Formats: sequence, C-alpha cells, structure tokens
Amino acid sequence: MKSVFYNGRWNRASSVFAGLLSFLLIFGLMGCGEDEEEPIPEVSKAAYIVNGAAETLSVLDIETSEVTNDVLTVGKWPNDIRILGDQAYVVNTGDNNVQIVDLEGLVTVGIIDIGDGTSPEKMDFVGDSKAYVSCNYTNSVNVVDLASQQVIKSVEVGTTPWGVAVAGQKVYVCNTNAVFDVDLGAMSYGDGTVSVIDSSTDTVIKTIDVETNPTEIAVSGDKVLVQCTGDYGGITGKLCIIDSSSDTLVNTADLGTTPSGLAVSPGGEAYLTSFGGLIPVDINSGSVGAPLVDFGSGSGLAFDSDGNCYITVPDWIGSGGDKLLVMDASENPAGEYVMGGGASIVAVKE
Amino acid sequence: MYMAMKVDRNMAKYRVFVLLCLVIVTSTPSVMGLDDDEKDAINLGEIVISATRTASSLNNVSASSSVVPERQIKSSTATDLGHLLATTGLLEILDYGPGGISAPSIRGSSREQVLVLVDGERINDSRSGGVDLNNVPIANAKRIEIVRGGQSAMYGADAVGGIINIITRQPTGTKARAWSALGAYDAVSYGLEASKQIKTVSGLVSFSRSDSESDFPFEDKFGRELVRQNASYMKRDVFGRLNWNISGSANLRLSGDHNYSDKGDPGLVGSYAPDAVKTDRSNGLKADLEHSLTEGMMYKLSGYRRDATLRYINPQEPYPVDDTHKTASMGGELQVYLLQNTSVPLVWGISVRNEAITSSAVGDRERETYSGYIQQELSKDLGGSFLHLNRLTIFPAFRWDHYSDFEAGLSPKLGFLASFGEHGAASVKANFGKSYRAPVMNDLYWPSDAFAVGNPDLEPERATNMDLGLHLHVSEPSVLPRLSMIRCGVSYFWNSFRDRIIWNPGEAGKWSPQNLSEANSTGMEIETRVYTAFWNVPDLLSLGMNYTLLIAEDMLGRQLTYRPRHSLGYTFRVGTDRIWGQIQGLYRSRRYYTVQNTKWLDPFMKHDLQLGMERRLWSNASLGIVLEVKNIFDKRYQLVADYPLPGREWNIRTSIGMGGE
Repeated sequence: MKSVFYNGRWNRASSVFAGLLSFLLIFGLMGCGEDEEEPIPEVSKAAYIVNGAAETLSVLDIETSEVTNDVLTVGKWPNDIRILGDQAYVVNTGDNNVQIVDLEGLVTVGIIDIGDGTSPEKMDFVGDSKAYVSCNYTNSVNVVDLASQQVIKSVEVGTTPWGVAVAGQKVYVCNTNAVFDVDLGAMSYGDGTVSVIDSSTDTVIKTIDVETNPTEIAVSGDKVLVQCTGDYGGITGKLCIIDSSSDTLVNTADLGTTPSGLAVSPGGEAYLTSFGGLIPVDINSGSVGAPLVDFGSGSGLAFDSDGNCYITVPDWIGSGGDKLLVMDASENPAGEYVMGGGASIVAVKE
Repeated sequence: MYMAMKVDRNMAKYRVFVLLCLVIVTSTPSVMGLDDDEKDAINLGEIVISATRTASSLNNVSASSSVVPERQIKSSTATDLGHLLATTGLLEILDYGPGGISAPSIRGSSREQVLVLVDGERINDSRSGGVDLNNVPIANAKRIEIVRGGQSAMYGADAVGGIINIITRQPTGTKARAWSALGAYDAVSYGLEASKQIKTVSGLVSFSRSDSESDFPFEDKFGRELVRQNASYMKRDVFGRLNWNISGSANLRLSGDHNYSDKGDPGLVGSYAPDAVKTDRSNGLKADLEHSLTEGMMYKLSGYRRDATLRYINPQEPYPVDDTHKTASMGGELQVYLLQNTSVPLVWGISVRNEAITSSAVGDRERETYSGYIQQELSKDLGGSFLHLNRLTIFPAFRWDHYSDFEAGLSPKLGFLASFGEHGAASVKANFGKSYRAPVMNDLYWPSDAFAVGNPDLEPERATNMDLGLHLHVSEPSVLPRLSMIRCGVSYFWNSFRDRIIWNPGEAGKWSPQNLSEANSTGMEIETRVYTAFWNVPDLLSLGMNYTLLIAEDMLGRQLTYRPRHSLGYTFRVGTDRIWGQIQGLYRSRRYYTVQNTKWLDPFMKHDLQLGMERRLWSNASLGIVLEVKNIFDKRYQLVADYPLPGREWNIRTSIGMGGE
C-alpha cells in the first residue's frame, strides 16, 4: 500500500482528494432546500385563528372541519383580528400597524400604519367606513379611514387603553390604567375606566368608572360588557355591565379568578376564558355560572351564529400543544384541532 | 449652521488622516522586509491554552479549537470582542447593532451556554447568564481561543457550547504605542499602551477610548429610509499588569482593569427607545503566583475580585424602567501541574467563588461555588509502525461543582487523540462529555409580580456532547513547494440538550421558568487555512475558510431560532506583516426567529476589505496604518430581527510604536 503520509507531508493524490471532499461538502450541503408553502384553502364559513407566537393565521373550515395552519404570515406581536366583509384586519402591535387580509385569496392587500411608538392593541369598526384602534403607549385611539387606509384623527382617552367595542355610533374604550411603577419596581393598577367616544364627532363624551384593569370589551344588545382582569394577585377579575343608553354601570359580577377573553353568545350570554375553565355569566342577572372545565386554559373565543364557541388554547412554550376547542350550543365539547404556535385570538366569518 | 461646522470639522479630520497616510507611504523606502516575528507568525497561532489549561499545540489537544492570533486582531479596527469575532465566522454572533448587545453561540448553543473567560477568569454574569461581547475590550488581547464542545469538565457551569478565552498580553521589554482611529458615523477611538522592564519586574499599562454617534441610515420593512437614533456609545478601558520574577522558579503577576461604557439603546424597529441609556462599569483585580517546586511539578495560586454595575434607564411611558444590578464576584483557585514533561502530565485544582448580587430586579442574592477538577493526559508512542500511527493519547477529565443554591454535581469528559505521521501531521480527535448551564438568578429569584415569578427549584440545563474529527496539518509539502502550511479539519458534532429552562405561563397567565424542553444539535465543521510562500516570504498569500452545517432542532424537528443551517466565512490575505491586504467574507443562510419556523431572516453574504501597513521609521520606532471598509457592497442585513445593522462603513486607524522586545 502506498504511503499517504511521509515525514509529515502528503502526496498529490491526497491533496486532490481533500480539495474535492471539501468542495463537495460545502457546496453540496449549501444546496439543501427550504420549506414549502401551505396550499390556500377555499372556505365559505370559517374560523380564523391568530397564532401569536408563530405570527401566522390558521383557518378552520367550519363545514368540513378541515384545518390549515400557518396559511399567512402576519406582523409582529399580533393582538387582534376583526372581520369586515371579505377582509380580516389584524392588529400587529410590534409593527404598529393593521394588516388587511383578503380572506378569499388569503393574501395581504393593505397595511395601515398606525404610527411608530403607538403600540396598537385592539380595534373595531363603525359601519364600513371607519375603524378605531386603541394605542396603548400613546393613551389614545386612532381613527382610521378605511377607504384611504390612513389614520385621520387621534382621540385622547385614558391611560394605557386596550379593548375597543362599538355600540351603534358610540365607541367604548377600556382604559387599563396599568403602568410600571419604577419606585415599586412592579406594575401599578390605577382606577379602571371606560371612555365613550361619539363617532360622529370623534370626541370623548363620557368616562365611566369600572373595576381594576379593564381589558376586553363586548356588546350585547343595549349592554356593554367590560372584562376587568384584576391585578393578577389579590384583586380578582370582574365583569362590569354598562347600559349603553345611559352609559352607566348597572351591574358587576365577581368572577373569582383572572379571565383572559370575552365573547357573547347568540343567545346573549357572556362567556369568559380562564385557566380553570370557561365561565358563563348571565348578563341580565350578573350571576356567574360554574366554570366549564372542559374548556380550561383558553385565551380568545368567538361564536358562530349556530351558537358554537371557538376557544383558542395557546402553548406559549412552543411544544406544539396549541389547540382550538369547539363548544356546541349545549356547552358540550364538539371538536379539538391542532393550531399553529401560540393560537390566541379567533374570529368567525360566515 | 451647526451641521455645517460639524461637517467641516469631520472633513478636516479626514484630511489629516489622508495626509498622514501619504506621509507614511512616501517615507517608506522598503516594505517587504521580514523579521523574526514574521517568520514565527504562523506558529504563534497554533498554541492553545484553554483546551487543557496548559500551553499545547493545536495538534496535541483533542478538543476542536480555533485561535484568533494577534496578527488577525491587529488587522482589524474592532475595539471589542463582539465586532472582532463577528468577522471571523468561527462562531455565531448575534449582534443587536450599535448600542445593543452582542452574544455568542457555538454549535447551536444559547448565549448563556457559552463561557467567556479572560485569562481563565469567567466573566459570565450570574444574574442573566450571558456576556455582552461588545463590552469586552481587546486592546490587550494577545490571542483569542475558541474551544468548541462541552467543557464543563474543565471550567464548570455554562461551558456547554464551548468557551471563548481571551489571553491578554504580558509585559515584554520597554516599549510604547499610541493609536487613534476615525470611522463612519463620527466614530473616534484612541489608545495608549506602554510596558517597561526593570530587572526582574516588568509592567504594562494601557488605556483606550471609543466614541460613536452611530446614527446610521436603514430601511424598515415597509421600504422607508430612516435613521437609527440613540445608537451612540462611549467606551473606555484601562488595564495594568505587573510581573515580578521572584526567583528562577517563581513568578507573581498582578493585574487590574477598569471598563466603562455608556450607550444609547435604540430599541427595536417600530418600538424605538429614543431616551433609553445603558451604562456598564466593571473593575477587576487579579493576582497569580506560579511556582515550580521541581522540574515535574508546578502550582499556580490565583485570587481575584470583580465588581460590575449595570444600570438601564428607559423613561418612556407607560412602562418606564430604571434598573440597577451590581455584581461582586471574588474567588481563589489552586491549580497544580504534576508530572510535567512526561507522557502522563496531570492537572488538578480546587477553587472557591462567591458572587453577591444587589439588583433592583431580583434583590440581594448570593451564590457560593466550591469546585474540584482533575485532568490527565495519557500518551503512548507507537512509533508509526501501524498505519503510521505515531501516538495515542486519551484525556480523561472530571470536575465536581457544589453550588449553594442548586444541585450541579459531576461533569465528566473523555478526549481521544490519535496522531499519524511525523509531528502529528494527521490526527483523529474525539470527545465525549457532559456539561451544564447554571440557572441564572433571574430564573431562580425573579420576584412575584403581575406577570412573572422565579422558580427556586430549577435544575441546571444539562447537555451531552460528542464530536469526532479528522485534522491535517502539513508544513512545506514536497509536492507543492509554494505552500508553506496547510491546516484543515473536518469535525462532526452531536449535542443533546435537556432540562432547558423555558419560561411558561401558568395559572392566571403568570410566567415562570421550568426545566421543560429538549433539543439536539448535530452538524459538521470544516476549517481550512492555506499559507503560500513566494519570493522567500513564507506566508505572502493565505486563505482561510470555515464552514458549519448546523442542524439544531427542538423535539418537534424545528430549527432553533437564530441558528443558520449553513455558515461560511473566508479570509484571503496578501502581503506580509509590514504591508498587506485582506478580504473577509461571511455567509449566513436563512435564520428563523419564531420557534415555529414561520418567520425568518433572509440569507446574506457580506464582505469586508482591509489594507494595512506597518513601517519602521528608525531603529526602534514604527508607524502603522489600517484602512478598513466593512460591508463593501452595502448589503442590508440583520442578525437579530428588527435590529438593523449599518451598511457600508469605513475605518482608518494609525498607530505609532516605540521600543522593542
């Protein structure tokens, strides 16, 4: 056998071999392919789920129960999704914008710049011409003209606003009053309020006192429901019920825990997600029902017109445990689907 | 008006530097001469200390190691470790841009899983775990050693992906050097260093300072041309060392350093922090006594203390921050070298370390660590009679660590080295070991607030490390007479990480860290350096190239964030130490930045150009100049999502030195 090494030196064949090996290794491996895109589902009645960690959309075809995950990339830190006609509006907090998604082609068709440093969180529409976006860092609600896709006004509201809901021509905005206290080295929760904006003049016409840390808000008939999260410690969550005709607080339900999300069923009952289960609340009496433990650890939720409730259960550690739970109108489990990473918010289009 | 004056001043500075360049060039009668330092330049880069705690040739250690030699450090205009290593391609650097931090990753590790040492002393912060490489000065660096793979058997906690060890310069002879530099975005830096030897005592002092406005243009994701604001910084470093050769067999070394930086923190794109400020201050003292008792036995006794303060202020409402973290670490170590100059050298040591933290985040905390370690090198000469196998060496090593606030235990490692051919021209290297990362104080003791609470029951993150490599090192091959040296190596590695500490929301959405996750990283590293000789100049042309294939996946088969599958770096250099030109390039493939691999940073390739010259003016004085253009094709890229990096940048550095060895 011919020697490869001789006195610390090598022969020509070895050098050629080593060169070829290096070349093949480097350029062969660099050619490895990347992932392929998911096909676009065609659906008529669907739930659209925002995956907060993956920063994507998932789609559940409600009629066929088919799920397509990660169909579209959304912006940074998505915190809300609202549907208007054939379009979804995704609020991307980290990008300070609202992303407009065409739901037929599942493509982005527009970006509404809300403004650097605004930290937009939630939104709602007045008719099909204007949208109201809460801006957590600037203590304001930015009014968006949907035709021009531009911010046309900024309305000053309370401190660190979050949830937004529209009842008729009035816009209700949750002012969490949650700020970081440098001296305490911790979050501080002041008095929670709700600002009422007259959308015809875009001015604040009233401020209503509610409980600690109002975050989510929903409308049911002439009632405005405000989820007050509490301080994650001694102050537990409450559901405040406002009469929208007089804009006064008419009832407060103690939830006894920390809620995450709020929605109203077609039958007019409020449901709130929490770690221990889905909490039903009778809006008229303010009575709180026993948690529905089959639907624990929920985050966002939405109802379809048949009374089915879609509840997101995010897995924030990224181990693939993200789910969408379905509860039927009789409050029984009706489905469970694997979602994209951090499935947190859901909206239904019919 | 002010802007116009500022531009005029800058123009005046630039003209002075251009003039200085011309003076140096035109006053140089010859630039191709060689001295003994140059002839030794290649060999200087081949010694590694960190792999075995003793000075060994790269050929004689089992660990996969790379060295950034002094020549390469001098060739760069970088003033800190982060910017220097970012150009080498030897490891992954996550650079958050001017004003931000710079963090290392080796073989798919997290930043907290890379142990950073200065002359063997750990500088990882026990509160947050990592090191901001942009705050580690290199003005006094003689060499930088990178040892890949788990090294907890030698260095304890955090040496999971590998270690970076900065070996600082020792005072030699009487000499002095001053340097200054100008660069893009009003970057100005300067420094002084001097050393002196009087009989058995020698000393070295140095000072450096860097300032930059760093408000560079960038394009956001909507195509808007913006200016990165509040990215300015000021850094200053002072270093001193005193060596006393007490007797022929005993040396005492005292060293002290002071580092200070004041930086703006621009925040991420879209969530800017125009008024955020971060200041870091660090003061260190160290004493080492080395004493050879007999020819075969030596001990080293070390003691040190380091005080570091980090303050971060961001007044921006509604979530203002004003945090101060103070860390005082002190310790001592006895290291004994037995059976030196035999085929069975043994190193063992014991150490104690105390860290006290006063933090506005985690309160007052203390950690004590007691450690013992032992490593032996067992070699057998085989004479080359079988497959030219000349020597077999195994490196068993164990380390035991006891922490006051969590359970660590034993870290074993076994290295294997088979040397073929004379002088170990070819070698097969293999390593198997276990390593761990300590849970940091933030993980253990974060106070219960609205959103989070620490977990005092955390276990360390653990890893099993294995690698296998083939390495060739040939000097002056007879068949290729122009080649003065070829060094190349191919290594396969496999790391299994378990009990990874992940923050997870529990009841009421309160986040808390838990030992939850597992991951594996496998891959291959190829490193090649070729030096060629022309006109009797030993390394007139040189080419260095490194490539890493990294498959770092979680248990669902998803690539870990910010770990590119393919990384490539190259350096092509022409010239001598007196006059040279160099092009460096860096390629990174797609890097995901969501755990689910749904979003990524696009691949990029960038190139840097350096031209340098050093010339002796008279018998003991020299002038040097380095011109550097970074990112010469103005490539827009990011290493961390929403933290843009500058485009094309230029730097020019001049130096004047006096005295010699």
